[in-house]
Formats: sequence, structure tokens, C-alpha cells
Amino acid sequence: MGAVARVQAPQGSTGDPIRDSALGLVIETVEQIASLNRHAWRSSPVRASLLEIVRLRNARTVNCQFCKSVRYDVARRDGLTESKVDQIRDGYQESGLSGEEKLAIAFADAYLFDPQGVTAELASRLKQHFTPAQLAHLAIALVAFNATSRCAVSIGGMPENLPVTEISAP
Amino acid sequence: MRTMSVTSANVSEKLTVAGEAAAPFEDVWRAIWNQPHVPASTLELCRLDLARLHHAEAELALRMPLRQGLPEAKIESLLRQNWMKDPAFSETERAVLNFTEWYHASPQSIPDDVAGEVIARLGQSGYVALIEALGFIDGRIRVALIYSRMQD
Repeated sequence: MGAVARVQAPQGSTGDPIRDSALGLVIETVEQIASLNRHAWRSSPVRASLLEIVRLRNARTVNCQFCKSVRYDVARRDGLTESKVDQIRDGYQESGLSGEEKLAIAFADAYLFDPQGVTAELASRLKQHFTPAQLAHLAIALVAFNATSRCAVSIGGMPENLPVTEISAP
Repeated sequence: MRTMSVTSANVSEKLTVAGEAAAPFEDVWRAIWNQPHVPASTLELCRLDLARLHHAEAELALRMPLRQGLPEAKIESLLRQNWMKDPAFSETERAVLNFTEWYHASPQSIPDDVAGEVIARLGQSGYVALIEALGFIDGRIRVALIYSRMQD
């Protein structure tokens, strides 16, 4: 990963982390991506803490320091504690996370590591536990989280560590 | 009963049940293909290269509708991994495809000179447009593969 950012974010601040990032250089796409990010949080049939677990699983896999350091306020209000966040790591199957939380991570892992490798058993568990709307929303949110975190890493210039910071859902 | 071949283009049919997030998801898809910084034909080469890397058969059979077509011989050359030496590929296309393959492996692994070559040819806005497009194309291929498996 480049130690220096490969591109510079536009000048000025709108208060929106996507518009204020280097993604703001592409005016033809930035509003659409910001809108998708907003809908991922504001229009979710999936509870916020579960969405945040999936987002953090992605952040750790992609190793996006910015994404790893952020906690969305709505997820914390929904019960996501730092103790739970610590368990979103390899070996999570044996952790104290709930069955639903482990299943959401398994879905994220299928997306992140082996989308062709979804077993009939995993597919059956996903379809039994989540509604089609919830599964579709999780898929859309994962694409948004993964694409934007990969953008951040590809742009480079990230610090090695950042303090955990709570931010408001867009 | 026949099942639908799910691809990055039609996976939206599976995702409309998500509700309100489905429309902005499609808006992003349209925007990345229509932005002016990276030609759609170049993105189509990237999509097909990512499909090859994912072993996504339905995706490989798909051709996105482009204003300016892409010769099938060039696609075949891409899929045979001849793009490095085939004169049908421009230097910009080569830089972008090289970047795409590093991006697929891991964005963290992308060397500065590989990214720099893209920035030199497409500019900073073009570089950002490319990484946005790769993220959403790659993501939709992944979701299409998952939904294909889930309908088996």
C-alpha cells in the first residue's frame, strides 16, 4: 500500500466522508455512491449491529485502516460493543457471537473469499434465517462496503493505526 | 426447472427485493459505465478479465452493450492472456489491465509504479473512476456467483 496518497481529495468539506474523499474527484459517480452508502444504513431491513459486523469483517479483510477505525453510531445503539468487535476475527465460529452474527460473517466470507464455494448447507441456513429482502440488502451493502474500502486502499496514504472513532450514519 | 444464469448485469433482478437500496445500487452501476474518464470498452475488458479470474462462466459469456463495439477477436486475445503483446491493445488498456490483475489479487499489493502508470495515462480522476468501477464490477460478479450457487 502506498505510504503517500496517489491522488488528492478535492478542496473543501461537505461533511460527508465519501464526497470529501478522493471519490469526490469523479463528479459523475460520487453522488450515486454517497446515496448508496446512505441507503445501506438508512433503508436497511437488517439490524444496524449486524450490518456493522459485516462491514468490519470486510474492513479487516481488505485491511482498510479508515474503515477498521470507524464505528457507526446506529450500530452501537443497536448493541454492538467493542467486545463483540474483537470477536469478528478468524475463529469467530467458536466465539460468543450469536448464531445470527456468525451466519452474517459466513455470508461475508463467502463474498470475500470464495463466492463460487457457497455450499448447499450454507445456502440453506442463509435462506432459513434471513428473508430474501435481508439477504439482498446484505449483498448490496457488502458490495458498497467492499468497493469503497478497496478504493481507499488503492488510493493509499493511510496511517498504520487510527483510534476508534464513532461517526453518525449518513 | 431451468435456472437463470446470474451475471453482473442481471443480478439486479435478484436484488430488487432489498427495497429502497436497490435503486441507488443500479444508479451506481449506470454511472460507472457512463462516466467520461475511462472508456466503457476499457471497462468491458476489465470486466471480462475479472470474470476470467473468478472462473465465472456466465459472466464470460456476457457482452455489455457498448456504443463502440469490442471486436470478439480482441476479447479472445484478452482471455488467452495475450494482452501484454497483442498490438490490438493500446498502452492505456495494457496499463489498466495490469492494474486490474493486481487489484483482483489485493488492492494492498498494487505497486506504486503500476498505479502510477494508470494515473499517467488517465489522470487522477480517471484513476478514481477506474477503482470505483473495478470495485462495483468485481462486487457484482461476486454476488452473481453467490446467487447462482444459492439457486442450485
